[in-house]
Amino acid sequence: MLLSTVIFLPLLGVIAIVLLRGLGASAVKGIALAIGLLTFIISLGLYTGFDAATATFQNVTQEEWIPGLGISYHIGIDGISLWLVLLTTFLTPVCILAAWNSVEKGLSGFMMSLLALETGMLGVFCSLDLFLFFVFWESMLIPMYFLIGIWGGERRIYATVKFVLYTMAGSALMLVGILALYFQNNNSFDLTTLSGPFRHSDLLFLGFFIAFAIKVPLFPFHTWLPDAHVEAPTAGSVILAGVLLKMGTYGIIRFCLPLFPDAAATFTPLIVTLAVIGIIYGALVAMVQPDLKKLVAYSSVSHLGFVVLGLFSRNPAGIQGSVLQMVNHGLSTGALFLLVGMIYERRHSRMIVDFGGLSKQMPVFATIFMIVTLSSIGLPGLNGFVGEYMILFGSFVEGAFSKVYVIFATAGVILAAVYMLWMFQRVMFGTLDKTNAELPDLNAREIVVLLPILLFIVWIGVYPKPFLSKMEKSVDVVVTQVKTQSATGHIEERKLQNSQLALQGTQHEKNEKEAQTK
Amino acid sequence: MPIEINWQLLMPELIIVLTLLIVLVFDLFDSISKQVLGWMTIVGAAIALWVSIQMHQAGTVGTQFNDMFKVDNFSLFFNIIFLVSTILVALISISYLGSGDRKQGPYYLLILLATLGMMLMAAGNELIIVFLGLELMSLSLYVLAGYFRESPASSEAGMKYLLLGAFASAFFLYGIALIYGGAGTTSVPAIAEAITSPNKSPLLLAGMFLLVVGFGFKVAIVPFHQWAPDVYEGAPTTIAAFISAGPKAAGFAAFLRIFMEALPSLQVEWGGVLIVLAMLTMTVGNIIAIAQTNIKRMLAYSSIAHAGYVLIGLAAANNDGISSTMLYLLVYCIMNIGAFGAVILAKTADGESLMISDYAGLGMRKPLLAMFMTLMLLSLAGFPPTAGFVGKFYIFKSAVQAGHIWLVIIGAINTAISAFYYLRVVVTMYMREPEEELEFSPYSSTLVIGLIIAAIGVLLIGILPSLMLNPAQNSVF
Repeated sequence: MLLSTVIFLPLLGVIAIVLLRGLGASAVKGIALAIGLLTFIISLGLYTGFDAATATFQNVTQEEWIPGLGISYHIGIDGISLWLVLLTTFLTPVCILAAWNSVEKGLSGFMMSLLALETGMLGVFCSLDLFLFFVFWESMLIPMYFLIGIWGGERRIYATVKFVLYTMAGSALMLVGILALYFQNNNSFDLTTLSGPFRHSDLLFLGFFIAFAIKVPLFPFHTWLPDAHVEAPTAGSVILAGVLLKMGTYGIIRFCLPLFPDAAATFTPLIVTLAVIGIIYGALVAMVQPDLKKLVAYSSVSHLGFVVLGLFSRNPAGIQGSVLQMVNHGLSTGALFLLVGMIYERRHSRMIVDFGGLSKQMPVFATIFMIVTLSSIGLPGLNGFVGEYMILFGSFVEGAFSKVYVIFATAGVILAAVYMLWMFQRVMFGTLDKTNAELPDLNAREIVVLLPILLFIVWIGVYPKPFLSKMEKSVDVVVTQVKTQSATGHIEERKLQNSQLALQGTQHEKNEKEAQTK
Repeated sequence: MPIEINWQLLMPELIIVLTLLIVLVFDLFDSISKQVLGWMTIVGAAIALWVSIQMHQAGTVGTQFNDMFKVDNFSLFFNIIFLVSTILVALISISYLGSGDRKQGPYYLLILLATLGMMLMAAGNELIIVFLGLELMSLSLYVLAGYFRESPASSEAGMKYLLLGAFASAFFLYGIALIYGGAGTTSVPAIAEAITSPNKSPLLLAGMFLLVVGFGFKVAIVPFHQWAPDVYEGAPTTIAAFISAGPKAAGFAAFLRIFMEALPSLQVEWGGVLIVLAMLTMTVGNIIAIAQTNIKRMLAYSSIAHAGYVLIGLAAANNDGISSTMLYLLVYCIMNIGAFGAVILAKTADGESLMISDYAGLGMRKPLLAMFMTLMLLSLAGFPPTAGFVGKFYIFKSAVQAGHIWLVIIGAINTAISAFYYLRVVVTMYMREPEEELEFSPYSSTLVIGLIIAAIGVLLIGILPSLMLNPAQNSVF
């Protein structure tokens, strides 16, 4: 019940805004912020009530929804989704507050889209029924489409249509995969009863993986990301980078790895190669961007490459690091987008050449920017370090792939320092341009928006244990699911079993057909 | 020998006939506003709908007229589809025709006649009855398509529809003749019995393919679709909505009945043909729709593509295939009439605005209209939580069950393609600034009622699909 409240409270907010939008802009903003904060506060109950000693799903609700198709309303969280849920409920009020004064037209529509988006994203992280998952996965597209398309920049229409079409192309294949799984799961969409091995698991794996890889986005499916990020309004960019991209990596850890371990093993070299290319390519392209927002967007491609690398290392340290890094990236990249948005509101430019010497004019801004930049680079003591270190450590020491990949990936860490620090230097130091001499420093509202993020950036960096301990058991389960089924000695045996099962399956189909014709 | 008639079995049809006669009589009185005739149509259809639902829930089954006319849950479910379409079309027609036109009587009369024809098609247990129903429906529609005599486009639409429709009927009739030649009967159950023997006579196969061609024309599947965009564009918008909804469902009803019940032993042959046609229809419909600038033509190509999705369910040819087809047709009728209704709502002083570019900025100036349009288009595109998603999902599921994975993959990719042009209208409404200020007419109440019903239907079936899914699953013959 608690979890359903968290998921659908934002939707209630949408209805409230529809009914009360006549009261004016400040009322709409107030309702949205109140609902956003309330959702966050209630979602904290999920954290305090979470039992870290078990890996089973908690706060489970299961109700019949469409019995005729074997579909139920089945939700619950484990130590992995808990963090993504909290990240979502945390970032949404931050975004609402960040958009306080920047939205001029259609404010109520903006807030409604933001809240509807929150429901969609929370639903994705909590669904334990494949159909329900797909419903949330697809319905979340609509509010995002409006957010970019109505409140975005110059090329917003191109960006939003590209975003929707890329995602839909991926999800089309995933839908086929979901249906194929259904018939191998005793005609049920229930995720908790799914257990492999499945027939055609390679194809099924790809069907799911491509949908998630587009969302992550993994090189070479990343081209929608810079467009969407650059054109989206600040709040849209924050949600996009902070939460939406995580839906892809979450999908990999929830579906691809545990359901199709053999296929995951088969495709590991290819995927890890793509991830490493993404890390280095994203960093190199970020380095030469003249536009601050685009730079941050390409840095996301690089960072998410690390997350995918960690996931496919298929050992506890790597996967825990990946999950933590999902949260870290949400915090630090979210903060970067907020900061870029704040400077854009003042100067109406995001071009690096237009700035210089800002540290004298805006000391508070410069300080916060410095902390976030260092977090993004992965300075020890801040959150990024913990995640990246665990990923690289896990991949290097007992990763499921060659160490050469890890060596190349580590180069990405150095490149990150290069592009971030170089950008910081050009924006903050040097001579102050006359046009920038009047820029005001951050106001109280903006500091309130950024402070909670900074708090978590330092907290995770200094003392990550509470975060890691809650996810430990759940990650271990994923690892055992992957390991037991794909340990080298077992592969041949598995294949034999698979083929036997496939034979049984076809026999079963034949019987069914005969029964039908009779 | 006197025929014993079970009147109760024929109730929905009789109510429609009665309504038809009442409309005919009241049309004689010039003092009565012609809009009253529209309301009579709605009331009559609503009563017939209520009766059909009651009979469906009671599971009424029976045959009439020497087994020529079969009432079962299958035909009753299709009655529900037809009557819902008729009610919605009548609702959007009342304001569309206005109160000034004195010649509205025949309009409602023809709509009722066409509805009766559809009901006959769904209940036909005999090829000749199906043909009679088809002709009754088609002849009424020819007239309706050319109903605006002063408009050259409307006249052209009527003429084109008549010529191509007559061809299609001829193919259909020829197919019946050949099947009679092969099986020695035109009764649906008797045909099934006659062709159990393994040797399939070439006459039967030829007859079957001719039936496919005839139906293909009627429901506008590629490559028999060329008439559809021209007719939809020229015909009065309400009639375009009508043609795209009920008659298509009726065509598929007879298609299902004949192919699944009379020709199941030829499934190997027609199954393959339908798979190819489904792929062609979806892909061609969706790709050509992308290039359209006129919203009526765009909806025409979209309705062609939707016929392709329905064919996936037919090709699956299992129980879920039949019920998913029925559910999808119901959903499709509601959302498609809703979309045409929204087009009518976007009326300016100079007439209808039909170019998609005219819709620029509508989201801010006419929020209610833009909301209706967006909802219908999202449902057509198959986004959750609308009915269009559930319908498509169920169809895909039945096809995966039948092993047609590739067909489903192509269908799913087509869904992504179709999102492009549906969303383009939404983009225009919400994200572009208008080039010229168009004066939109005020909303008319009947139209808004019709659209509200459609919107509720689309959302209700989308969120609680069991409401219509269970009846559909109970309606497999």
